Parts: sequence; structure tokens; C-alpha cells
Amino acid sequence: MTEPILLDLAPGSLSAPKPTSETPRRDRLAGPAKVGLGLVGLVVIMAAAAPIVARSDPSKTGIPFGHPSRSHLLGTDDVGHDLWAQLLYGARVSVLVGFVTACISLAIALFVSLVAVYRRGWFETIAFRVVDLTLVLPFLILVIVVAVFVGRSTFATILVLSCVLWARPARVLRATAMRLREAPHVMVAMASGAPGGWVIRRHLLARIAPQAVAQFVRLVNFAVLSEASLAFLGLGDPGRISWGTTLYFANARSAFLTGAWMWWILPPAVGLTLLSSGLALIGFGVEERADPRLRSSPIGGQSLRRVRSQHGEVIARRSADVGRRPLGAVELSGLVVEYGLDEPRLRAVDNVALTVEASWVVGLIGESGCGKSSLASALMGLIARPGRVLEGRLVVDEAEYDLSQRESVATLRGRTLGLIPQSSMNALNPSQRVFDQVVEAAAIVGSAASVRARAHDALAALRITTAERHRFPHELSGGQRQRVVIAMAMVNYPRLVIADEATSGLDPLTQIEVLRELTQRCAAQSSGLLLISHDLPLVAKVADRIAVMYAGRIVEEGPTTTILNEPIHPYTIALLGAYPRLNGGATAQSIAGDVPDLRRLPPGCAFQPRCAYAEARCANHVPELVVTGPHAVACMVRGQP
Amino acid sequence: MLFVAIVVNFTLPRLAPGSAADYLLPPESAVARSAGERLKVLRQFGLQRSLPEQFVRYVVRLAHGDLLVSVRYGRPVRTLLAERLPWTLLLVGSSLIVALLMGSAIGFAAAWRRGSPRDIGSMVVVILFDSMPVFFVGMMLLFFFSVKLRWLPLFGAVNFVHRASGFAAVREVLRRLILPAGTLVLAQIGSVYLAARSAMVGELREDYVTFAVAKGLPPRAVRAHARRNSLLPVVTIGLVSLGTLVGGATVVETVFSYPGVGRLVYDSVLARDYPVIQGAFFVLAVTVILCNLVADLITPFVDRRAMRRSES
Repeated sequence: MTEPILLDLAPGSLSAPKPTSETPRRDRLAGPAKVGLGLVGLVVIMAAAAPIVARSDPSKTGIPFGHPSRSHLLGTDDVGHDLWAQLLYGARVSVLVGFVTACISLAIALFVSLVAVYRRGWFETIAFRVVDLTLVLPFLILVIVVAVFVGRSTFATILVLSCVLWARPARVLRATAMRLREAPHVMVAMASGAPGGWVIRRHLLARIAPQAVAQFVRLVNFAVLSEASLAFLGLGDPGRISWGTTLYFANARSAFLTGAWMWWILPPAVGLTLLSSGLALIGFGVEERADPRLRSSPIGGQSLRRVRSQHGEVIARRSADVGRRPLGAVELSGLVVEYGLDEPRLRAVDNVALTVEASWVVGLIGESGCGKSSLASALMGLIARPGRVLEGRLVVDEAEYDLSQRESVATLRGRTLGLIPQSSMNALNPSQRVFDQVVEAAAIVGSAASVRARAHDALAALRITTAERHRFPHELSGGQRQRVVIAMAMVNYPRLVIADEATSGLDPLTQIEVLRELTQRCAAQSSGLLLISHDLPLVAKVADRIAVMYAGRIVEEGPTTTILNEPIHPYTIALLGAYPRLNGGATAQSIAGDVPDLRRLPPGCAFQPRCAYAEARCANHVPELVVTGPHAVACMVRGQP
Repeated sequence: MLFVAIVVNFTLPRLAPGSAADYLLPPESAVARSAGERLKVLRQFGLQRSLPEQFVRYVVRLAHGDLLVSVRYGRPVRTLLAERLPWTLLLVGSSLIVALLMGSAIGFAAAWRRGSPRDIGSMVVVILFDSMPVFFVGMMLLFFFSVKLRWLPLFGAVNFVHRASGFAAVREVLRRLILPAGTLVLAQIGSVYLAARSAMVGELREDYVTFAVAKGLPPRAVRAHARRNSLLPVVTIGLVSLGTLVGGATVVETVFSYPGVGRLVYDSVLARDYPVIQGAFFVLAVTVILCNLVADLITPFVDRRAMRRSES
């Protein structure tokens, strides 16, 4: 996964904020996985070298309860077995049972899951009935029952464990294979008649391999511990010494009541623990690699400091003030956002300034990846590491906030700034009634007594009926959910509402309706509205001003009518030409070329490679944003008056 | 499901090498008996009939709650199990609840502080405990708390020497429950922890959590949002691992001489008391299957999303 995905927060996601440290997790995990490999390697070497290092026969009896000495490194047990030799030979059984069982079970699991996914039908039904059942039955008891009747030998142990252990990996692998099967490239391959075996080999097996490795490690671990438990219960191979049988005898003959437990119980138990934890550590490393999602990082604690608020009285004043006294503007300046740990870093937002006066609607327009969503996240203090806000200043009512300081931004969230995210379905907690969620948002400011009333007012203003308020998100329609989210963002009378593609998931009619309601609410509360969208015609219907963003910079900004009728910047012109018109004769023209790679921006004007008006100097100098009256343009060729 | 458990129970002894009589008679006496006596035993258990016929009779007997007679104790298996099952349920139930509460609390906290030293520290400790064989944990606890410190009793579930009554009896039972249950908790807490941690890490990635931050909620409230939705997979893991827990109980009861079904299984394995082993497996399987059934039934009420899924 490369960084641009972080940048383009568009479909279905708000930005997912920050891990808690600069170091990526995978580097931290490499260490534990190496330790794991070391531990497992140690045990395997012990097992392999047993005949050479043991010095004596583990089953030969001698002086009972011998203390550790030169001839018996770990002393002897109650009948004089050499415990050092028992420890070494015991490792052999664990390693043998662990690996052989894991191989057999994994083979069964792979076969069953792949065939089930590819063929489906009766095979799948029956196989996974068996899997479900095996997983539910009390595992050890089942193994005991089978072991009792199959007999006591190492071979029987392997057989018994394999019969039971394949079920879990089979289920996990099937789930992975199912996801892959529904992946477009596999569906295309199958739809175009590729033979089944080929599809499995070419597409499924390659992607499943890392999962299978992780499952293999787990299986070894499970088999080792199960063998030990079986042996401990007296169901091990009587002809072989394993760690489990050593412990069985130790327990049965009350080793704890003698002084010998240090040499008798600890070594095999520690051996088992080390082997098993080694396997677990390797397993985590492998899984992390198999599932890249585990690597990226979600919200973390440190960044979310508790915010003490004196906003309550402000609210009271604000709601009284509405419509009486003009409020000041919200001014953003010098915002710079970068992503990535390595050079060249990706500069998603580059020195952006924007002013939104109270009650104004400002549209921010740009293609996916131009940095408009990063701008929204930066304002809310939600930029995820490895991204960060390098600079940025926000001035509200003469108070100044440094956007690069998380603590400073945190005080603004939900109070001064309200966010309406893209996907309303995902923005609401699925297991909480919507009213409670609005109350919760309202409760961060003001007196407890007024909270419920304010929540009701906010919802009522957006035509959410009393009955609907007490429903769960999934019981509401898309439009209703979006209006709930709007109510939530506006319940504390924010100075600026940031709507990030707020209506893009809805059908066109609902889009307009919700947008109208949003602008009405903002006007009624004297809140400024920053409308972030790629849909220029839609935004033009409601916006007072429009800012056009390209490659992290604002290239043109001005009153809506000016932008629509007298655009100056070539990109704005191209953008306007890209939308079909019902009345005009001209057909829609797409903009030639690709959205630039923000990591390798051309020197000079970023739009120059795609620009129809480009001249030689455009490739050398970055154009400044030049303000003329209410209109600002960053173009050297057409921007000069 | 139940059916398969029955089939397993019915088939296994019949697939095993040797005559069924070998399994139905105490091992010491089996060799000594004459062929005539063997046949008598086979008759007594209806083993001379055809397999389908035997199966039908077996199921009918089960339906009447007849689980054969213990070879070792000479008492009906049903009575034996009825005496032992409450202790196992007490042990497994209490440790499951404690493991769920503690494991999820630590797991959620670790997910919230993901990547911090504390997260990694808790991870290492949990992996270490998870990797220790259950019986070793039990033996160590037994050694330190009972043998060395003499704080807690060595074995058993009640004091047979000084029978207490009323409140004192309850106290005694709890005192004797601490170590076995503690062992099981330590054995189980790892998987709960990991499930809780990964569920919470997943939820924290969800948009509604980010939105909760954007709403200006304090960290505590944001956590509560994610926690609520992380709970379901944790409870599911807990109930699914009930089977593992019952197996663990066998080992723990063996170490602590706790009078549950697990200890009975262990003793029966040593004594080759096959009817008891089969009966115990049957009863435990039924219990676990019922628990899973209950879990499946209540899931939709716990998780709104699951309900929505089943509606659509």
C-alpha cells in the first residue's frame, strides 16, 4: 500500500488517525519474530543433537534423587533417570509431533478449504459442517476419547491430533480464499473460463501462502501443547520420553514434596514454554506480514488529550447573538501537510490560506488526490501519522491556534469547528441510538440541563421526527442518517462547518435536498460552511465563493459567479469544460494527462504538463497566488491583469 | 451436532482393536474370564446383535438418560456425572467470567495504546502465559501458594475432615476454588486478550470512531464507542473457547485433585473405565453445544449489525 491512498481520503473513509510513534510497527515486530526463531531453533538443535550431548541413556536407572553433578547435569529423578538426557530426548517428541502434525493438518486444511471454495456445493456443505462441529466439541476431551481407543503411541498421538486440529486452519483459510474468490481479478479469470486448477494455483495459492504459513506456526504450537497435555494425563507413548511424560511422572510422584522439583519439573516446563512462546512470536510476525492492515495504525491515545472547555458560556452567548451582530471570519493561513517518513515526502497541502466569513458558503473544488480532504483533516487535527501538519494558523475571533499542535486543535473540535464526514453510514456508531449520539456531542459544552433540549432542537431543525430520533442508524435512510450527522456537527453552534464530500453517497435528488438544508442551517446559526467536493456544478448551486485546488495548492479563488463565468486559471477552465451541460452545445471534455504524483511534482507550475496555455517560463517558476479585488489566481500566463 | 457426538461415542469403541468385552470388563479380570463368561457379558450389553440394531438400542438408551455402569465404581455413570458436573461447571463458569473481564480490559487498553511500551509489555506477558502448559501453571501455583506459603489448601473442593456449614462452607468452597480457577483464567486470558485487542484495533479504525473524535468527545468517550462494538467478538471467542476451557479443566482438576468431571475422566483413563469416559464426553459435548446454541441465539440482540445482516 503506498502513500497516495493515505492522501486521498475519499471513498468511504475519514482519515484514520495516527499511530503513536514515528517508528513503523513492522520494525518493532521484526525483533520479536527473530527472538521467536531463535527460541524454536534452540529447541530443534537440542532435539537433533540429543544423542551427542545427552551423555547417558535417558531410560537407564541409577541413584534416585541425585543432585546435579558432572555425570548428571540436572540430577536424577526418583528412580534415577538422568534428567538432562530426558530433557534432550523429550525435545525430540515435541518437535516431531509438532511439525508432523502441523504438516498433516495443514495439508488437509488447504485441500478442504481450496476445493470447497472452488467447487462449493455438497463438498463444501459437508466439510464445513464437520469443521463447525470439531471446533465446538471440547477439544482435549475429544482427543482423550479418541486416544483411549486408538492406543498409546507417538504415531497415534500424531494421528489423533491431526484429525482434530485441521478444522481451525480450514475455516481461516476458507475465509481468506472466499475473499479472494470474490476479488475482481479472480472473478475475471473464472468468468473467462480459466481452468479451476489454474485459478487455484495462479491466484488463490499465492495469496493464501502467507496465511497458511501463519496457520502452520499456530498448528505446531497447538500440537506441541496438546501432546504435552495428553502425555501429562498419562496418554503419551509409554515407550518414549517426552516433556509431557516427564511432568506426568513428576506430578504423579509428588515431585513438589521432594527437593528435586527444580531439576525435575522446571526444565521440561520451561522448555515447553520457550518453544511455544517462540512459535507464538513467529506467528505474530508472519500474520502481520500476511495482513497489511495490521500494520497501518488506528487512533491512538496520546494524541487525544482531554480538553477542558470554557465553551459553554460562549454557546449561550452565540445562540443569543445569532442574527444580531455580525461575527468575525474564520481565517486559515499557511497550512502545510506532509505524508511519509522517507524522502521525498509527499506534500499534500502546500501553503494554503482560506477565509470563511460567518454565514458564508465557500466551496473547495478539486480532483481526488488534490489535498482537499487532507485540508479538512488538518483543520480537525485528524491527520494520521506518518502524515503531519508542518505549519498552519487558524484565527477565530482574534484567538489564534497553531494547527501543528494537536492539543491546540483538540480544543476546537466539536466546539468551534464541526465536521460532516463523507459516509454517514460509517460515521454513526451502529449500536447506539442516534439521539444518544447527538446528546453525547452536545454534552461536551454547556450545562447538563440544556443538553437534551439542544439535541432535540438540532434534530428537529433537520426534520428528524421524534420517533426517528430513537432509532438505530441502520433503521434510517441514507438521507436521514446524513441529516443526523449534520445535526450532530451543528449542535454546538460551530463557527465553521467543514463538509467533506458530505453528500456524495446519496442519490442526486437527496443530494440537493440535504445540501440546501445544510446551507440553511448554517445561515440560521451564522456558521461559515466549507463545502469540500469534486462536484463543481453541485457546489456552484449553493456556494458564495469557490476555491479551486490543484496538487496541494489553491490555484483560483473568487465569487461563484466570477469563477463560473469568467474563469482565469487554465485548470478552472478545463474543469468547467469537463462537465456536460444540458443547454450548451459543447460536449464534455476530460482533462488530458494524469493527476500529478505529489512526490515528484514538476518544477514550476504543477499544472503545466497538462496545460493548454503553458509557456516556457511555466516550467521554471511556481506561480504566486495574485489577488485582484475579490478574485485570486495563480497563473503566470493568464493571471496577469 | 448432537447426533455426531452420539455417533462418535458409538463408533469409536467398536472400531478399536480387540473385543468389546476387553473394554467393558475391568482390565485385571478380562484376561482371566472364560470364553463363556465373555459371551455372557456381550449378551448383557447387547453386543452380539447387528450394528444398526445396536445403534438404535444405544440411542434409545441415551434418550432415557442411561449411560451404562462404571466398571470401576460399579455405579451408574449418570449418578457419577451428576455428582461431578456441578463442580466442573462452577470451575469453568467462574474462570470464564473472570478471564473474559480481565482479558478484555487489558486487551482494550493495549489496543488504545497500540505500539506503546505498555502495549508491547502486556503482549509479551500474555504470550508467555499463553505458552505455558496449563498443568505447569497449575503446578507452580500449587507449589507456591499451598506447599511453600501454605495460604491455600492443596486439593479438593470441600474440606472432608471438618465439614463446615452455611457461610463457612461457602467460604471454604471459594477458598478451594481460587487456585484451580486462577490457573484456568491464566490459561484462557491470552486468547481473550488477543481477541479483544484485535477487535478494538479494528473498531478504532472505523469512521464512526474518527467522527467521535471530530465531535470533540474526550478520549474516554471515544474509547467507550469502540469498546461497545468490540465486545461481541470477545464474548463470541469466550463462548467458542468453552470447549478448550473444558479440556483445560480436565488438566487443572487433575493437578488440584478437584472433584469435577475432568478428574473423573483422568481417573477413568488410568483405570480403563470406558463407559465413564464415553459418558463424560457425551455430557460435556452436550453442555458445550448447548452453550454455543444459546450464544448464537443471543448474538443478534447484543449486536445490532448482526441483526441487520440477518434481516437483509
